[in-house]
Amino acid sequence: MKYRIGVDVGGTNTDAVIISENNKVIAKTKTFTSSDVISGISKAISEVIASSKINTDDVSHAMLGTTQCTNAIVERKKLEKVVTIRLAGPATHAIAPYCDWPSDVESKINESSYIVDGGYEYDGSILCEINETEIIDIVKKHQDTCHNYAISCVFAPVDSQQEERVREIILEHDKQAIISISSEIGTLSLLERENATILNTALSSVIKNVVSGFKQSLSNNKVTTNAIYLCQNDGTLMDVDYALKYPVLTIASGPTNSIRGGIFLTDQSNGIILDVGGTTSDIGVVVNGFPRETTIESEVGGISTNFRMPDIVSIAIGGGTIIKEMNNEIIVGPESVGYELSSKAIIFGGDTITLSDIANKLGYASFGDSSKLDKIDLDFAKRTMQQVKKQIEEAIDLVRVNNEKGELIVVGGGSIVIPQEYDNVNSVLKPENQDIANAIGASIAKISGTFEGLVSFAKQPRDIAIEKAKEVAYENAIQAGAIAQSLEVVEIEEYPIAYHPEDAVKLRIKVVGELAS
Amino acid sequence: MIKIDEQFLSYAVIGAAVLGTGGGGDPKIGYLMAKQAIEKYGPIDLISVDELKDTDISGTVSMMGAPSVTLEKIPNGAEFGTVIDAMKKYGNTKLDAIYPIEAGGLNSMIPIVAAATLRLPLLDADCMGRAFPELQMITQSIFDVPNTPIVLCHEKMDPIIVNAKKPKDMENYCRALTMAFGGSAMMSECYVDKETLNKFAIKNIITKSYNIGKTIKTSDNPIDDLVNEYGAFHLFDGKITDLLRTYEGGFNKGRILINSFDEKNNFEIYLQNENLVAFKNGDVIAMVPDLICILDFQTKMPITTEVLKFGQRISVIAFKCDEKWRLDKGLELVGPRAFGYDFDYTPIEDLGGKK
Repeated sequence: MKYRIGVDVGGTNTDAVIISENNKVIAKTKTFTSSDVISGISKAISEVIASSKINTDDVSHAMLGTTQCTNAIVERKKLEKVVTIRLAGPATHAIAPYCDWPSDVESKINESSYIVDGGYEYDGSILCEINETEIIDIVKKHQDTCHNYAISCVFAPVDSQQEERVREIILEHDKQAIISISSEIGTLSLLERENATILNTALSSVIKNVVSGFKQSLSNNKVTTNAIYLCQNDGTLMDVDYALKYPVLTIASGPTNSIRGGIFLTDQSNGIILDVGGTTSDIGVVVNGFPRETTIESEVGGISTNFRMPDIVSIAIGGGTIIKEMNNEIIVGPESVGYELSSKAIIFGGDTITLSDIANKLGYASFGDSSKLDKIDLDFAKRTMQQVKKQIEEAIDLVRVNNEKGELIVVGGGSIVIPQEYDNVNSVLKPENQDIANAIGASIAKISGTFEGLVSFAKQPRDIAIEKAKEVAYENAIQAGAIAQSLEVVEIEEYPIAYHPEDAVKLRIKVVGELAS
Repeated sequence: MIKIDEQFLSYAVIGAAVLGTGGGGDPKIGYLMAKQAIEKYGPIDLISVDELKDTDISGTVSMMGAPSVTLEKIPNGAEFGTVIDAMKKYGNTKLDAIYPIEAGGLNSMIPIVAAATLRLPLLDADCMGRAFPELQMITQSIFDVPNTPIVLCHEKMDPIIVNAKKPKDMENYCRALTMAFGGSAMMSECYVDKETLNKFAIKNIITKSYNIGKTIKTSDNPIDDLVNEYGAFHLFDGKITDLLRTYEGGFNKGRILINSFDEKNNFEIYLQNENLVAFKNGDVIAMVPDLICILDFQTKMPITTEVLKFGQRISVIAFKCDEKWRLDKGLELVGPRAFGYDFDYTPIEDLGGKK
């Protein structure tokens, strides 16, 4: 029998799970996330291996879901300096790079930025040719101080050749350069894609540490497999070499793993999942086994980006959520006692009413000191739970795609503190092992590849255009470590472009397949 | 005279997006362009029409084209100088003040960029008081003030003068040029003196945008304040339960169905780039050219048509259009029949909307 290890590093907990090749949970553990992160991962792996009693040589794959990259951006720590080059010729000078960034993070990252010759029109024709000497001059200017580059280009999602050529030129003159190009990172909308590309380069050393730390933790625990993966935010995996190139894709992989884990544990392929934590709950939708992706821009640490992200609504409801009453109205959150639940909540002898106290009062859960619950009025508790129910129902409405009632799958450590019935769902499913849904999500992830770009159906027939796009998606998936024969198309999306004379659509195709071992 | 600085901008862009009635482009690009221009060249003067000298000449700058192209191919910022210089030369005119053509996320901000770059004052007036999809849908048309010639250019700074006799030809030529420019164009038109401006201008529109934006951002009860202080009508609150979108003849068309939170009432909005007609429980309650604006229920921030979603909680408010649009010639241009509806215009205040 072969086994997989899945590890999920969250803000509070590091969870690990061992799962057999026929997808049975063999062992699980929950430890605190350590400040250096790596020792926490190492501890979780050692605990889960010990309790599983398996032979570490039988571990075929190891997967890590991590919030390290998200945290680096939010906390403005460990980020690299970046030289930004935008290929745009005469266009785009009205908004320079970093125009919409918070200044504290700009000053940490911006080494220098340039708008130089280059760029395409919407139909892929040339807006302006690139000027090689211009690029070489920039590289020479920075060769002693900075080797990190982010390249963006007008309409790069339509044609990536200029960005690729500029990457070659930089590497010819600076062998150690680390370069991200925007066509490999994000979709249409120059500023957001450029921002994501800059962040991707800025995260290059963070991801190096995560990868080497995970490898080290595995070898410390005598896990010898070379099949080591990181989780992406679409519920699929990337091998470590790919992860080193695209660290930005790990952002928001945590909620994605919980969603995927919840779906797996309930044996569903479609549904709405609620992941209840200590401070917030995330709610998302699974379509054909994968989280639905958002189509609008999203913010990371105050920077707007447009690389794909799961479409998730976060609400301020969790075990530590503070409950107040003002003018006869119950106020649920958004403040939370967070990790101080065990000292501040009423049931733990504190003086702050939390959702955990209310849940215990109503008999949803039983932990802490129930004798303290006399302080809470039963009617107040009932009204609070009504309010929580209403807020969760509103969030369910926000992520639903139609008026059909479905199942709500509830996972996460905080799931014991919320109501068990909602007017807009048929039933609530709460599977076994739901407390480690995120680590399970990491261990069962698949491999994907995508195509995204503008296609003119007037220039080539729709079926041929889609076929060509599929080829690109397949190639990307195989590069990321998928078995070619197992690949299947899970998503084809077409958005028509307004005012376009040639029947152009923004086409997006995603394929998913099994891991090569 | 008021100084337009970054703070003023941040409120004005929100109000402009409200008055854009679902269209008028994504406010973000416009805001960032204006922000960079003011950072670089300093705050600009906002003046009223009354502050103009009789001999002063005022003209518009605006953008035409696909909002999705502008998100990728952002303007250079110097196009304004090019179109204005070309107009001065061709029309043998001068330019003393700039005014916006319409209210909307992008076209309210573009004149601010031009005014900052060229160090000209911005005029607190426009010629729609909202956003409309076509070139000839401006108040000049009501008073037979020609909007020709129009100068267009893009980032390559090749100005092209378009001077057709019929408004519809004007629209067609400009749209064709815009496509040749790669999908978006900067333009300048309607250079007029103070007397002519006084015939058609919709005044205080930028101040109105600022006031609406500031109310939304700073008031505890934005909708109540908009109703009491700025004449808004609060039409409906509810949840989007159906969303139908089609793409016909170069326009985004659609229908939005909204249910009240207690599910006892329903509301429908029909749109073509902008929100055009609204029905409550089957009865028409507001129609073009009055303004129908969709706001987020929680934040009361304006929502443009492209980002409407199933399940979204929204508030619908309305404003009276400018009185000029209610003249016969105005309604001929932008009344419900001009958009293919088989009924005559009824002002919003006569349709039973809650004030």
